[in-house]
Parts: sequence; C-alpha cells; structure tokens
Amino acid sequence: MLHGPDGGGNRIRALRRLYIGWYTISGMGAFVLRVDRDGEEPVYVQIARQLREAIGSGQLEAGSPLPSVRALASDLGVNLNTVARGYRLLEDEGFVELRDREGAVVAPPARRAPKSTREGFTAALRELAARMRQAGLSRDEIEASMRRALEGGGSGSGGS
Amino acid sequence: MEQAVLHGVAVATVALSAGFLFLYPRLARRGLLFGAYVGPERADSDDARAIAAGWYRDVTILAVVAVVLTVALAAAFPKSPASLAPSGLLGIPAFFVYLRAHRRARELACGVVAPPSVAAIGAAPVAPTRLPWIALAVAVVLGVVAFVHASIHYPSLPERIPTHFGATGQPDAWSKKSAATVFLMPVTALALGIVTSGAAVMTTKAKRALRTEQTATSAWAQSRFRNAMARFLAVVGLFTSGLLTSLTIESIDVARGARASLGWTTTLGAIALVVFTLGGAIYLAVRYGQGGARLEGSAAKAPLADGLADDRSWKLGLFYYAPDDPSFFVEHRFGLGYTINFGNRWAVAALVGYLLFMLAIVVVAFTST
Repeated sequence: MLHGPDGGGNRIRALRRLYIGWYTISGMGAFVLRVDRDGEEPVYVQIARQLREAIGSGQLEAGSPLPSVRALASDLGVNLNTVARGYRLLEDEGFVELRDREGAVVAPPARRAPKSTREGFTAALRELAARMRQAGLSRDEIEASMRRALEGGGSGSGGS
Repeated sequence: MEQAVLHGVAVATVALSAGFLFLYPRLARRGLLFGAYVGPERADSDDARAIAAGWYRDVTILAVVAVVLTVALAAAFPKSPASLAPSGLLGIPAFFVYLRAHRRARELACGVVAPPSVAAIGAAPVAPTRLPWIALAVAVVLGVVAFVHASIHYPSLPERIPTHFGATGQPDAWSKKSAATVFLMPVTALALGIVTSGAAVMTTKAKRALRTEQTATSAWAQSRFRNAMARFLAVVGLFTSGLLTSLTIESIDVARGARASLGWTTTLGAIALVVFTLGGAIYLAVRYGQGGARLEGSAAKAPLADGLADDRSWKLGLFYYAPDDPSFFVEHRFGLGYTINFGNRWAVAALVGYLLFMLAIVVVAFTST
C-alpha cells in the first residue's frame, strides 16, 4: 500500500497526460488549415494559399499525402468543388500531384524550370521589389525578408 | 397488482424525464446555450442565467402538471394504462419550452462570431476500422441464408405457423401461413443488418469537427472516437443479423415440426444484444466522451467543436442542415454519437428509406397476424 487512493489517481492522470501528450507531439508536424467562409477571399484561394505556405515552409514535405477532397470538404464543411478547385490550382502551380490511387500528394520541386517560367518569376520579383522599395523598405530589409522567405520562416506573419 | 406497477412506471418515467430536462443546461457544451452558439463568455453572463432560470421555471411547471395528471389518471382509470399518457406526451410541451429558451438564446447570440472551420493536415493518421465492412458482408450473407432457408421450406410449411414465442422458446401465438408472415423475419434480418453496418461504415467517414485549441490532439481524439463508435455499431449489427437469422431458421424449423421450441442460443443472443448495446453505450460515454472529448483531457470543459458552432447550419439548434457540406454524419451538438446532415440528399434518402421500411414492417406485422 504505497499509494493511497489519491496517489493512484494522480498516477493514472499523469499516465493519461503522457498518452495524450505523445499524440500532441506526434501531431506537431500537422498544420492547421483555417477557413473563414464569410471572408472576402474565396474559400478555394484560402485553402490553396495556406497549403502553398505550408509546403514552402517545409511543414508539408514532398511526398506527404493530403487528405482526400471528400474528407477535407467534410471536415471544413465546404463544397466538394471548392476543395477540388483549390487542389487543381495547386496542381497547375506544381505544388501538388493528383494521383489516382493515393489522391493528392505534395509534389517535389521541379528539376529545372523552363525559360518562360524563369522570365515570368523575374518580372514578378522585379515588380515586388519595386513595390517594397516604394513602400519604404530599405535594400537591406528587402534582402533580409527575401532570405527569410527562402529559408521557409515567416516574418512575423504566417506559420502556425 | 400489475396495474399498480404500471402506474408506478408512469410516475417514474415522468420523474426521470423531468430530471433529464433539469440537467440539460448543465450537460450542454461550453459556449452553447439551448442550441445557440453564444460563445464561452456570454454563456456565463447574467443574460444566459436568466434564460436558464426561465427554463428551470418552465420545466418545474411541466413536471408538476405531468405528475398531477399521471396521478389523477391513475385514480380515475385504475384498470387502464391511461396514466402512461402524460409521460409519453411530455416531449411535446418540453419541445415548446426548449424553443422558447432557444429563441431567447438566439437573441443573445446576435453578433457572436463562430470560430473558423478548421482541418488538421498531416497529423498522425488513425486508419479507419475495417470491422464495419466485415459486418456488412456478414449481414448480407446471413440475410441471404435466412431468406433461402425460408424459401426452401415455404411450400412444405403447414397452414398454421407460430409467429410468437414465449420466454422458454415455446410458441405461444400462431397465424395463417402467408408470404408476409414467413418472409417478414428474413427480410428484416437482411435490412436491419445492412442498415446498422452501413451506418457503421458511414461513421468511419463522419465529419471531424475539431476543437479550437490543441488541433492535432483533437483530430486524433475524434478519429479514435469515430472508430470506437463504428466498431460498436458494427458489433450491434453483427449481433442483430445473427440473432434474426437464427430466429428465422429456428422458427421455420418449429413450424415444420423439425424441432419443438427455439434453441437457448436465441434467448441468450437477445440478452447479449441488450447487454452489449447498453454496456457499450455507457463504456463509450465514460471512456471517450462526446466526440472523444475525454481523450483530450478536457472532459469537464469540452468546448464546442468548431464545425458545430455555426448556428446558420443548425436549424432550431437541433438539426444540421448544410447543403454544401458533403458530410453524411456529423457529431451531435448534444448527447453521444452522430446525427445526419439534413442538407445531404443521400443522408436524407437513407433516413426516409429506413423510416418507410420500418413503417412497412409494422404495417405488415399488424395486418398479417
């Protein structure tokens, strides 16, 4: 009789916390998708944007499976077409592969970008840099935020 | 003596129902007030307490009136079961009392923003249980066996066949042989087995409405709860089809004179089904809590899940109607288990089909005996 009834209860509670805690840690890789159905941004854009950010920051690695369209639509309570549209957008951008059997899977980065794609990104970057400069960011600040973006970290916003 | 027991049961039922109605505001989820999402803060406000006080007052009046009516009916008609009427009809005024509290809670909920819809992606996955599919296959096989057994022996059955059996398994009621009386049982075996295991299959795909904090744990707990609930339903389905199939075969064997009474397995199976159903429901409630809330270590204060907080999808605070949501089953906002999405055509069709089938069974059973 080393433990009174209370001691036993505490031990069970501690074990239970450990048990729950293990799943919390094992679920740490998980990221949380939040959808505001009344927001101005269309829901499929919200889904695509958050998945893109999670893939970009490495929270979702290449090859990791995404939930099926039906499962995600059910959990979020949105239309099947909305989720499918978000996935298709990501497929077009090369973030996601839609496979028949496994469903949607995070795609690995492409081996080599074609010339037209490169030129498009260069133009977009040039425009972004101009806007950042105009908004009052210094050259150093722009470079630092570019580096942070490449490393996958947020700059105060984004991340979960 | 028997009548006294009946009147006692009537009073006890009223007392139990009233007790449940009294407990209702305490059992409801955090942030939810009489079927309206008012948020955790407003749920503790004086306005919320005033609405609850109104509910307690109305329920007290209802309970007193129901007890007085029951006693009066028992005194006026001591030899009839009329005293059971108030307990049976208590639900109707209770529903209106609920609606009144619900309408006031809706006003209080004005301007409260429901939490956003949330899904966990990449969390440690919990594989859905396969037991419901096995139960479905077994239900089909057993149902077909029962049906074939009835078809083979139908021509050789006597004109008078037993339709009811006493506790000892001896037949105690007979009726004229007809397709309805002979095939009622195997068709019911097939249908109930398919419905129960089908519901179990859909339960493994039910909506996971995640709680606001601890999303990964919540996703895990909800998946575990879904599986537990699906296994429970699958085993109930297995029991039901096994029981009805053995009942079909044995009662046909009694009718054709191959045996004198039902075997002890049928009686034992019936008792086991009741024990398992009640015990399983209590076990699920204690071990998992609603939606797996107890696995999250927050049994006392389980908050309302995100997906269940949006009042626009909850008609009268009770019925989930979301035409965009592809979910078939969603968690009950109150109580243990799942309810259908009334905005899902398939779910509504399944419910209507099931109700029509049960009605048909009752009609056939009454007209043929």
